[in-house]
Formats: sequence, C-alpha cells, structure tokens
Amino acid sequence: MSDYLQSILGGLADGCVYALIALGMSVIYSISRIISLAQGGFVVLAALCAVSLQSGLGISPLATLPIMVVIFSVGMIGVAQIVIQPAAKRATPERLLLVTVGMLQAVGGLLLIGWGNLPYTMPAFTGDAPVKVAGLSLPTQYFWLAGALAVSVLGLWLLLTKTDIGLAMRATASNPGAAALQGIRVDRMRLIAFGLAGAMAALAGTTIVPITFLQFTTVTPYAVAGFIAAVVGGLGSNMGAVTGGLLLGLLQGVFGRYWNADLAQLTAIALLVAVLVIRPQGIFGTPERVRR
Amino acid sequence: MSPLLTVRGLSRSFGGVAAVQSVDLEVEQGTIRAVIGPNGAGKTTLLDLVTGFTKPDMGTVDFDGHQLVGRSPRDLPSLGLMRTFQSARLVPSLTVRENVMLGAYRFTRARFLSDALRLPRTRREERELRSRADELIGFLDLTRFADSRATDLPAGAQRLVEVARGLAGAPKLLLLDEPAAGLDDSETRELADVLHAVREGGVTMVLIEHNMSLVLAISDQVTVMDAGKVIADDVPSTVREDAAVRKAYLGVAS
Amino acid sequence: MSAMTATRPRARLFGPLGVAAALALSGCSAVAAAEGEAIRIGLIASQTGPGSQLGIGEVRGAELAVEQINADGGVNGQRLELITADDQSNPSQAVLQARKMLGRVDAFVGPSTSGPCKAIGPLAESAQVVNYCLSPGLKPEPGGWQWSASVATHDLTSRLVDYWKSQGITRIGLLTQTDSSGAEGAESTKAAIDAVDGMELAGEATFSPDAVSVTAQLQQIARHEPQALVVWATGAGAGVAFKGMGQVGLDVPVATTDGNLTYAFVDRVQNFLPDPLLIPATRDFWDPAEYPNDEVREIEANYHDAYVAAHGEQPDFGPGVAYDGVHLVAEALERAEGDAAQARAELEKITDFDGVVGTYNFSREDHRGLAEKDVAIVQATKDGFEFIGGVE
Repeated sequence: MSDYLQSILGGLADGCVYALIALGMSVIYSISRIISLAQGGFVVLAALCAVSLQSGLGISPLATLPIMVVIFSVGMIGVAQIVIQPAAKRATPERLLLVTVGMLQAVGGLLLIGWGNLPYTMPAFTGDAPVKVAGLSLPTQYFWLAGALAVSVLGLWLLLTKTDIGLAMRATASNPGAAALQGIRVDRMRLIAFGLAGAMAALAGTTIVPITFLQFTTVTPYAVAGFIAAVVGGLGSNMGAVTGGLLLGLLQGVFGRYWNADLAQLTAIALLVAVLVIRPQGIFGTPERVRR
Repeated sequence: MSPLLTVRGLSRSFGGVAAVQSVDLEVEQGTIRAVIGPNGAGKTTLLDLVTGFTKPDMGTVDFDGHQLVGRSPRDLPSLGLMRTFQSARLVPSLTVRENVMLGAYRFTRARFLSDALRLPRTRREERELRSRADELIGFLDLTRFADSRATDLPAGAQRLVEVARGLAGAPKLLLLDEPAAGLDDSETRELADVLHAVREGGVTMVLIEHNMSLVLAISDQVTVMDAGKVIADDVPSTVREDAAVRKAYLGVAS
Repeated sequence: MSAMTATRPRARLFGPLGVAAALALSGCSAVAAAEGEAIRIGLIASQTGPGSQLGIGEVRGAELAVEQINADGGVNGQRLELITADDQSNPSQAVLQARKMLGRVDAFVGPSTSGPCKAIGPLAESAQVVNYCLSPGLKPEPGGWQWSASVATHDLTSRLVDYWKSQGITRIGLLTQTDSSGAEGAESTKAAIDAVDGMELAGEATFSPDAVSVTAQLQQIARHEPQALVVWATGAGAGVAFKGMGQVGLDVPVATTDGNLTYAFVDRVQNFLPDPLLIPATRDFWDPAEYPNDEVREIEANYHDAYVAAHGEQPDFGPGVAYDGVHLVAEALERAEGDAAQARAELEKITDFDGVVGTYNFSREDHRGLAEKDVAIVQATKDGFEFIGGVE
C-alpha cells in the first residue's frame, strides 16, 4: 500500500511540473492565442541557471528562487517584445507555432553550449533528509513544489479576478478588439502574460531541480507533456492546465507500476487524448475557444 | 464658446457609392444631437468616420481641440469620447458589472506590480471602480443582470450595458448608435429619462436613432440624413415639419 | 589507485563552446591540407548535439592516432590525413557528411552513435568503403563493410554478473531507462543473469528519461530485496536514479553502463554516488598492473601520456575507440597497400592486434573483435575510475 502511495506521490511530483508548464502555456495562449512550446525549455533553462547561481556564487538554493523569478519574468517580457510580438503581427498561428518550436530548439542549444550534455542538480531548499510519514518517504522539496504550484494558481486567480489589470487581461483574453476599444493596451496585457509565464517557468525549474537531475535533453519531453496537459485541460483554461498536468503525472506514475515506463506514458497520454474525442474543447475548455 | 464636436466636409465612398458626402456637423457642449435618416442614409458610417473605425476620403473632425481623423478608435476613451454600437461590442466572458468596470479602466492608476501585490491603493481603486459600476448599472436598471455574462443578455439590454460602460468612462461626448432598438415603449421611456439625466450631468451626446418619439423627446438638435447627405439640421419641432424630411423619412409616418 | 585517476576536469560553464570552436578550426585545416598523395580517413563524429560528449573526445583520440602514425612514417610511407565532419548527432547529417566525403577518403571512422552509424551503412556498402563505426550499439553484418567499436553490451553485463557472483551476490535488481541503450542493457542483463547458475533477478522497473523522480520504481525493486542493482541509464536518468536510492534508503552496490565512463558525468553526480558505483569497462580504464603484457602496457602508456599532454585530462570513453579505430583502419589500408576496396578483406584478417580498448581479433563473422576478456570492473569515485577486478 505504502509504495502504491509512493507511486502516486512520484507521479504527482511529475504532475506539478507539467501543471506549471501547462499553466504558463495557458496564460500565454488565453491572452495572445500563441501556443508557446518554448515554455518547456525555459523551465530547464531556469533550473540550470539556478544551479549555476547556487554553485557559482554560493547563494542558497532557496534564495535563487526569487532571483530566477525576477530574471525570467523580465526576460520573458523581453523575448516576447523582441521576438514573439513582432512575429505575431506578421505570421499566421501555425507559423507562430513554428517560431515557438524554434525557440524551444534554441533554448536546448543554449543549454548544450552553456552546460554541456551533463545532468545538473542542487541541494534541496530546506534540508536533504526526506520526511517519513506512515511509511512514505517525502522529500521536503515536494512541499516546495506543491507550494510553487499552489502559489501560482492562487496568485493568478487573485490577479485575474481581484484587480483591474486582471480584469483588463481577462477582457483581452476574451475579445482583444472590444478590450482595445475601452482603452486597454492589448499588447501590454500580452507582455504581462509572458512575464507571468516566465515567472512560472522560474518557479517550476528552480523548485524541481533539487529533486531530480536536469539536462538539455529534458527540454522537449517537458514541452510535450506541458502541451498535452494544457490541451487536455482545455487550452486557455488555467484550472484545466493544472488538472491536465496533475492527471498526466498521476496516470504515468500509477501505470508505471505495472508497465514499462514508455508504455505507461503512452497509455496516460492516450487516455487523456481520448478525453478530447469526447470533449474536443478539453476538460475545462469552452467550445468557443475551440472554434476560434 | 466653440462647439465640442465640429465635423467639416466629411466624405467617404465605398466602390463609387458615396456613403457620406461632405457632411458638416456641430455639436454644442451639453446638448443632445440626434442623427436620423432612413436605412442606408449613412448614419452609422458617419459615426464610424468620427470614431476612426473608417477612414474618411476627405474632411476633418475636431473634438475638444483634437483632430480625430487618423486616430485609432482605441485612443478615443482617453480623450473623453466613448461610443456604443448597434450590435453591442461587449467582452463575452465577462459579467455585466465587469464590462461596465472596463469602461473606467483608463482611470485606474494602479500598475501591474502594485496590482500583483494587492497594495492598499489597488484595493481601494478596485472597490471604487466596482461601486461606480454598480451605481451606473442601477441607474440603467440593469441590476438584476449585474452578475450575468454580458453576452447572454438580450440585444437591447446589451446596448444599455454599453451605455453604462460608456458612462463609466466619464466621457465628455457619448456617441450612441441606436440605443433604443429592441426596447419596448416603457423601456424606451426609461431610456429617455436616463439620457436626459445624463445630459443634466453635463455629458454631450450624439444619438443615432430610428425611434422618432425618443428623438423628439430628448434631442436639442436633429440632423437628418438621406443618401449620405445632410438634408436638414434644426430643432426637433422644425425638422418634424420640414417637407424634404417628411418626404425622405417621415413620409409614411406622418 | 590506478594511473587513470589523475585530474578530474572541472565543470566549466562555457568550456564545450571553446572546444567546439577549436575543433571546427582544426577540421577546416585538415580539409584544406587533404590534397596530394596521402591516405585519407574520414572521421564523422557528433561534435555538437546530444552525442557531443562522445564526439569531441573521439576527434581528439583520432587526431592523436593520426599524429602518432605519421610520426612513425605514415602508411607505407604515405602521409595519413584525417578529414573530420560533424554529424550534429543527427542521422541525416551523418549521411550528408559521408556522401560529401565519398571518393575523397579511403575509409570511414564514425559516426559516434548507433543511429547515424545505421544511417550511413548502405552508403558504405554501395561505395565499398570500410566503415569503422564508433558506437558499440551497432551490430555489424558478417562480411559487410561496417565494423563496430568496443565490446558488446552482453559482454559488459556478463562480466558484471560474473564479478558479482564472485563477490557472493546472487540477487540483482534492474532499473533501466526507456531508450534504446536502456532496453538493450535490460535485455543483456537478464540474459547474463539467466546464463549463470544461482543468480536471480530481484525486482525490475523502467523509467522514462524525463522522469523527475524514480523513487516509486526503486521502492518496487527494493521490495524484492536485491543485493545489488543495475542502473542502465545515462546522463540525467542515471543521476535521478542515484539520488532516488538515497531517498528510499536502498543502499546496495550499483553497476551502470559504460556510457557513464566520463569524468564530467561522475563530477556532476559526485554527491550522489552509490557506494560502490561499478562500471564494466574496457582496458583503457584498467590499472596498468592488470595489463596482459609489457607491450600492451607500453601502448596504453603511450596513448594516455600523449592524451594527457595534449589535453590536460585523462581520456574517457570516446578517445579510446576512435584511437583504436584509426589504428585498425590504417593497419588494414597499409596491408592493402592503399587499395580501399581491399581494406575490408585485410581488416577481417587482423587478429591479436593490441589496441588501447582491447586486443582485437577480427574475422568475416566478427566485425567487433573484442569480447568479454576485454572487460573488467572499475569503480567510479570522486577522484576518477579505480580498477576493481574481474580480469580472468
């Protein structure tokens, strides 16, 4: 029983990362209709930057978190301003997808050049000894990971529903034309969305890397898992992204007990894709989003 | 005192057909100006030309010291000019209250960081915005819809939401495109009262309307258009008697 | 302590970039000089992309071999030239580069990994040019034009299982990554356990290369109470597994693939090294005391010393196979008197050839030439690789 729960926990840890990636993709998609596959790459980039910051400058692992969040939200706004917004003005959505795939490749290349084909990790935020609860072994970092996801979800919800910038962002997401007529600067709202996605990439990368090892090859699987989670949850739905991510991780973990990991992953994905046959808009998506 | 809005020689043709032909129009501060005319007379095109949705071939639009020709519609709220649409352009997934709050968005001074951190100023602004929106919703008798999705409302009510949203922006000039379409008689009377009160509050209005009783009840000045041209421009009582107007527009009605 | 436990390379942030640039320059000059009467070997290696960890070392090993052969008078008095190309760890690039070289080179060495090797196979066949592939993952056809470097996976696992048996370990757990190398490692380990009396598989699980944690898999295996664990995974996957062992408190000897025989990798995972971490390794990682004779001792010393002199660090997995590959192909070309088409027949006749990786015995049927005898067990420590034993 306890190692069955351990499988679930391991799956949920994977799921938290997928959920954070999917959430970033979802925020960007809902506001600018861009599917940013590069989000998976930024997570690994943030992780390895944090590792270098920690080992190079001797900063404590926990302290790298706010630093990375600031750097990556500002950095993503820069990337959006310099690369994505100009491209979005000219390219069709399909071409724009290619742009983000290209960015994903570029991030992978940057990681390879900067960090080589080697796995990296750093110490946990708060002690390496796992907490033992009822025969379960819980690395303390799991709590940080779950916390990062919770903070992202809650913070995003508060921002979107309780502030007027949030209102303007939701208006932009719903109908950019109508929003612009009210004097909302739609481009600025989109930049904010990219900044939020950057912050989430930093949260995900910095929090996950102490549990695991990351290297440049992790970029693509993360992008794919995040994308599947976002689509299954309902592209543009933040709740959906989180549900899709956690579900994908959970199913992988549980199936992995019985089958080869590849088969487990394939089955988990197939099961989620089957959801799309029944609900093409995804679990939490609204039909109008699909049509658009 | 110079007029708030001065339109001079405004023209636009589509595929050789003159939709609007050298139209001149002056709207004085604190008045309601109605623009009437049969379908296809060019009323909505005129509104689109004034608000930058359509670029004029010729002519100038002067509003409160600003030249509007060449400006984007999205710049107008910050100049104090709001408009409504024949088919309301509300933000679909937001509630009625949220749509109205958007109208005042340009007044919020809070910036992203303070919003994200929920600083006191942000919360105060948010509260003020919300109570002002609720006030306007009550004013337009939309309170029962406040928490409904705006686009779930009947078309007539959606136009009223647009009026409320326009007012939330505390405009100097409000341009209304057939606000009474789809309203029954008693609703129309209520709307007349509302617009009257709005004018008392110092807001100048340009009203495009089919409903003659509304027009005659509230406007200070009426412009009549036919085939893209202004064929009459006078006080309501005179316009009603004008032969050309009766022929072009009121013919059957009289 | 072995001679191979010298300086560990420090992790340098932008090291690989500089190396790649330097290699690109040297590659250009080699092409420019490749005119006139010379024997030419085309080296296709993954100098960029996922295989670059191997490819960069391979280029260094091959260059060292060419240098030494020319210093010893070349091939039948002719200069040996190396033309290098980067396949970017990509099969189609490998084919493109091989095609460019066709007609200019007398033999191919490389590419670095099995995918690109398989991709250029048909080209080598149709052009009738010997191809000494540097990936152990290739399974060359008897009588074909392709060769495969280093020892086969089943020889590695077989030697490992024998070693553990000699240590009184009988219950072996198996954790593998779901990629082609992991799958082959799993299959070979199971075959090796089946082949030895008294050995049994105690728990088996797989994980995908992007798994954040494998603690669940490790706990599953731990229930079977293994006395030792095989982790057939490279890079991040191996790191995740080692880290997970500490988390679930599974404290048993671990063995891993020779794909992790790099100082850089051990450096990265040094805080999570299982005690001990064993790797079945070829002769270039052994203790000099274990070498079969003085001749081999001299060959190894010659190779290691020259490599350290040139690069300031001990060679790891890549350089040795390329070094041997160039020596073997040059020997065959020498025996064939420069006739590329004859090189295959001559290469198949080479036996008892002492290289740095092992002693090669080729035949029409065996295009690998190395066997279990060329494998011994080394332990990865923070200071490098230490010879443990398992030599016959």
